[in-house]
Amino acid sequence: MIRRFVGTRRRMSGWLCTRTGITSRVRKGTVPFSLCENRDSPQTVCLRILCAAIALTWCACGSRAVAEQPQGLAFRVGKVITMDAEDRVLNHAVVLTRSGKIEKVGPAAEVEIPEGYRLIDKPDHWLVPGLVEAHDHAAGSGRDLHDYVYLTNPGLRTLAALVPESENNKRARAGGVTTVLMLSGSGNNLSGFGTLTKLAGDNVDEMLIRSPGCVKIAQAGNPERYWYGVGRTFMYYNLRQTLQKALAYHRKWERYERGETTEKPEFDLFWDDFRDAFRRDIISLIHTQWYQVVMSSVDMLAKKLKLRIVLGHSTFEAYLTAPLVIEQGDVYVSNGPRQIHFDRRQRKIMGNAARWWQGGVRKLGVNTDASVVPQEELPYQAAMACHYGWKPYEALRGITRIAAETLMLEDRLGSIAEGHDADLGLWTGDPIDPRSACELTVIDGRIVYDAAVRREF
Amino acid sequence: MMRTACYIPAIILAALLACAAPAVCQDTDGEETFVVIKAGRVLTLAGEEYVGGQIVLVDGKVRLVGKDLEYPKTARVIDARREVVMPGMILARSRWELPSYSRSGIHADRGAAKEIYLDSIDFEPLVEAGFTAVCFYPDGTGIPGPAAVYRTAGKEATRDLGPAYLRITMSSPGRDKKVLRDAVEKARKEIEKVEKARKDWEEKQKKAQEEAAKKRAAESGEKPDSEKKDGADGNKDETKDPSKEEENKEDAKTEEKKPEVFTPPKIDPAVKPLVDWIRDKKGPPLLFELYRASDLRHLDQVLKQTPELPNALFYLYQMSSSGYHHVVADLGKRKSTVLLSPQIGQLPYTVTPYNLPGELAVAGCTVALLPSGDSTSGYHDVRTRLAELVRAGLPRDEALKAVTLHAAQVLGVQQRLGTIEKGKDADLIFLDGDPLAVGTRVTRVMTLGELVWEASQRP
Amino acid sequence: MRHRCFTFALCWCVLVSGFGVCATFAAEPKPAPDAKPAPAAADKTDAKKDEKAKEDEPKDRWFAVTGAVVHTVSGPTLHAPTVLCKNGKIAAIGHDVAVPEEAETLDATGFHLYPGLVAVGSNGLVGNEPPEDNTNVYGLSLTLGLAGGVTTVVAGNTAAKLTYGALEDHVVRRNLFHSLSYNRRDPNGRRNFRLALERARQYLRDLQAHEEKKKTDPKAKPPAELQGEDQAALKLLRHELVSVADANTAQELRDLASLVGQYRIRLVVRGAREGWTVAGEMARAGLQAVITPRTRRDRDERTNRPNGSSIENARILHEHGVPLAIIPLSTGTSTMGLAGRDLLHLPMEAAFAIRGGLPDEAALRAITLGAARILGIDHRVGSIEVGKDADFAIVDGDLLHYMTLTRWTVVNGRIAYDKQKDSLFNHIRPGGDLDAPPPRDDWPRRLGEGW
Repeated sequence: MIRRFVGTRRRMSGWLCTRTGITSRVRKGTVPFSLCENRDSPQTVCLRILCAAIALTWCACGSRAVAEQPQGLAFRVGKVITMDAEDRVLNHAVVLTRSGKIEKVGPAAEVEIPEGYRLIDKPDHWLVPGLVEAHDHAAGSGRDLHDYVYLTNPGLRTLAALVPESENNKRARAGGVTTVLMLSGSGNNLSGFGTLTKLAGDNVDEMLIRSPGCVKIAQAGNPERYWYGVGRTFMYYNLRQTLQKALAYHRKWERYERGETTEKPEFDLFWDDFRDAFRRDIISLIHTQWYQVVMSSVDMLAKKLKLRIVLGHSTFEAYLTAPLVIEQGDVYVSNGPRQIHFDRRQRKIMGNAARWWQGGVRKLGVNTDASVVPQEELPYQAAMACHYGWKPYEALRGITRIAAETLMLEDRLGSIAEGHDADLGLWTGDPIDPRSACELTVIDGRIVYDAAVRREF
Repeated sequence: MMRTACYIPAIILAALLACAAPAVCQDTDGEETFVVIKAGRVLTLAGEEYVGGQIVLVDGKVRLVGKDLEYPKTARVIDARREVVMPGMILARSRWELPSYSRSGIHADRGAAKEIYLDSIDFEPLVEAGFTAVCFYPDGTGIPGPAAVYRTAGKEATRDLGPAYLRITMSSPGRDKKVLRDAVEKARKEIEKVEKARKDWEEKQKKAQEEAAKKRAAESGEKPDSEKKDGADGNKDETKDPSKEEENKEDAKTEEKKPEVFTPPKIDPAVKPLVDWIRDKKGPPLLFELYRASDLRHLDQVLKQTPELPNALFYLYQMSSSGYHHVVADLGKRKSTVLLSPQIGQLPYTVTPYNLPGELAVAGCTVALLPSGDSTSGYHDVRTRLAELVRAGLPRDEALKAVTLHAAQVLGVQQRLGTIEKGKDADLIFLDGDPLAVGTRVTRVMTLGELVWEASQRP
Repeated sequence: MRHRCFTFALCWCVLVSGFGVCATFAAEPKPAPDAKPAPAAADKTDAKKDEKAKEDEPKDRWFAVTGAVVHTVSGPTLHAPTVLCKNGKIAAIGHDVAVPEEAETLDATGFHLYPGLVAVGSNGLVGNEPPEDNTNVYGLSLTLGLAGGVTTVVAGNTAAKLTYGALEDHVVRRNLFHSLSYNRRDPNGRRNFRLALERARQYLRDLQAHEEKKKTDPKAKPPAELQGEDQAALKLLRHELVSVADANTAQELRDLASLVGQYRIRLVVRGAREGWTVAGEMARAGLQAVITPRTRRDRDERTNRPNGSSIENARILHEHGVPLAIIPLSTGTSTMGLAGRDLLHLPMEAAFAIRGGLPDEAALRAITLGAARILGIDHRVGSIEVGKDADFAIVDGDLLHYMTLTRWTVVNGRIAYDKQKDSLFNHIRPGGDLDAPPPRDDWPRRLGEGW
């Protein structure tokens, strides 16, 4: 054991020595590197501590990770829209964050700001939860949006294409967006698994919330262009067949895990991530639009395959399926990027979100399908939805709390509540009014965008 | 006395014979051909309908229409007691079996008539469907020229019914407005040209006469104030003087050489119809073709400068985005005659049905209808289309007149065709039922009193 | 005797038969209804005469709007004045204006009246040039533009109005600009233009010298007339013509600023994406800018020089005194589905300029009077003043708020768009009702029902 320890130490110290450039002297034996020996003189102990300190410092610098604990933030603002369970809206309120989580929310008169917290005192600004995007294609490398090899591509993950600190992500933060579901494109029926990620971090591990974050399925309305001859009859069959195979894989493993069989199934990366979907731990985001297609999404995927689906897009005249969606119960509608539908049977311009809402759907949000609409314009999409008939508070909820529910992250995102992630946006006014600007964006308690330093949007 | 008394009847008889002789002579020579049609129903489309009526034709023209008519025993009788007789339908706008070409610009002289060779066109589908007259229009845009009307069957000599409307398109205003404006400008220039020439001629005449008067005055030694006398007096003086007879004759000859009547310069035939309208306020009918409601506004803008031109004869090409409902009231106000397809369309970007022919009729327009296309099936379906329109609200009478009398009005041949009335040509069709009933077919077609087509004789 | 009787009998027989024959031919037929001669022609000419007589009477067309909050843009905001318009022009604004009896009145209580918006670029709303010959005056695009509050647009090099259903006063001004291409990709073109300006300048000097010389020598020959492009250059120098050029990078903008500084011509810049980096130079040169606040070009981090787009472009240009007009990302009116990026939402583009710090009044100006001024049509449109055209956008709230919908649009003193009468938007917040029920989805319906 000692040998192994010494050996390890030597390897480690060797690495350290290389870093500090004293390799030659160690080899010569002139450096009293007594850690390699098993003696405990006071000098040895001091040296050990010194070396440990050096080692720790080097580790810290070497990894380039911002591993320091975030400073506590205190926001004293004119209005806080919490989007919590009681839908509290507080005027002249204080929000405290610590260690990347929201510590306290309350009226300014009641909440004391402790020492050591950085105070952001903006009595005429609003504080809202960091905005949540449920349909994003722009957080990664644009060229790698999609793989067109097969009509269904189970097993692929967009995680591979995620680009931290890309221009798009920086601008998105400037628009107050803090969390996105990064998806692959809709050029084929099943393009892989999306990634739930925050928009700040020096590397993917720091950004990542969950991967796989969802199953991305494009039911119809783009895959037809994939290869000529593909129509809905084949696409739906193809989807069903693929998902049935995935389900069979999942069942096999379930039986093994429950002990019903001792034969261990073969691990297959092609199918493994589907297990989360069938366990309903992650959503299935369906690119679906038009009445008939949305109907079949609800029927085929939610009802029959019992996936927890989110209707991405749900544009054109899909709002006519509202009764079906309500009946199913657990389906979320994420409307976008098209906010309007020109009904050519009665010469009317319908606001999509408004029509869904008027149809009785309450699990409703909007998205940008970035970069069809730039990611930073997520609140502007909400504004347009309101222009065409929706209501402002519901629209803001649709890009915060409801969006978080859509992604199954409502326990930590989408609202300003104690214990939730400290993802916040400080705005000069109503965030969905294009005249308001985002002044500060906070992700995990860290300020990741400050308009005072440089205004991006 | 007895003798005189006996001669009285002779005298009377002679007088009567003198009156009757021509009639008797006619009868015996056979110049007037009588044809009597005994019909199950006669739709005159001139106000009366006769069940079990008769039509008496003389030399191809309608002489009598009614019930219980008397006619000479020698008349040829056509037994149509199981048939309905109505005026032959008129196809007011067609390019059946004619090639298409593109022509643009001002060509009021190049008519459709120049491309029609009756032998090379198969008229049977038209005749079969019940059309006794067809109007061919020249292809192209701008002012491609006048249309030409022909009978669909009959003796060759009787088939040319003359020119009809001058076609002026306003379907692509950016292009067509310029053509119309240029044409009007050209017409005005032609009128100016003629006026100028006339003025020049008059001046020339005046000068010549003044010079002649001067010359004569100088020769005859008269006072120079004879210059003040007008030409006529000068001439009279001349002729009165016998001593100068020879000189007079010479002078007279030279004067005869000068034209006494002003011959105007030739007006460019490409714009002559517009010249006639602007100058004389009459000319051939002008048919304006529109593609959308907005084209009417563009047309009005051009015609505002030229109010002499008529603006109440239109052909409406119907597209889903045409939107004519915006201008129906306007068209009705000016009592337009409108030619269009018998479609029940929809208001743009909706599925709300809109009966454009019906609405135009209600607004006060004279509506003439066409088959839905230049095709055999289109021709055969026209009565079905009319029935659909009637069901949607167009009065039945209007529907039938739309393909007969009103179409004739569009073409300007309503004095001869379009209804069954005394004096009009006997272009009739026989049907085995009500023309607007499902399944009714045309059984016989007659032009100018001659049966030119019979269904029973088809192979 | 027998002979006579025979003759007598024969005569009578023939007589009788003759009567019979005559009777047949002389009998009048049953009166068939006479064909009525078409009186249409006569009626038409009569009707025309009557109409002409009516037209010859000059009747004034009066139109009045009452009850609205009037944002004049060039002056104060007035609360519920009467705006009286005569023959398409604003005749009086005030609280004690007498409205003639025959006037068409519009009660706009509770609404806000703004000048009709001016779009310095459009696509598909009016026809190609010349728009008075090509515009579809009942077109959907035109209607959508009116629904967005826009009343004047630029098509090509012509400014035209969205005169729904009519062609009178459709064109406001032709030949708005001289189009200038001045960039480093075409150095020859630049050189030629500068040479043209030089020649024009020389011509002006020669002209002045000639004027001097004429005083002493009346027979002095004037300088030779300029040809071709030099004519345009001369007009530019004399400020009879304004140039327009596309320029986005700081370098291009500086080049134009120096050109203008040297020759003192008037120039409008389209784009001016990096104008915020050279705002001072642009302002000193007197450049005017047509910008899109949301234009995006990511900053090139490899250089220290500030570059790329900025949401603060409008604010910085405005603070330096550069006259501005704002156009949206797209200048069409699309019903495809994406909302808020084209001429349907011109005020929203101005709202993004406010996001970047532009003051509210300046943003409103940039889509009304400022745009009109850049086009040289501010003597007619762009603000609510007596003598200007009666073009109004009457909206149900603050024009720059995202919930605001246009209720009426007035062009040349006529209501060209009425939200509740037109089917497009009459189901969205009718009367301001946030909880209005959705429209029925059953078809077909009859004309007039919610149409």
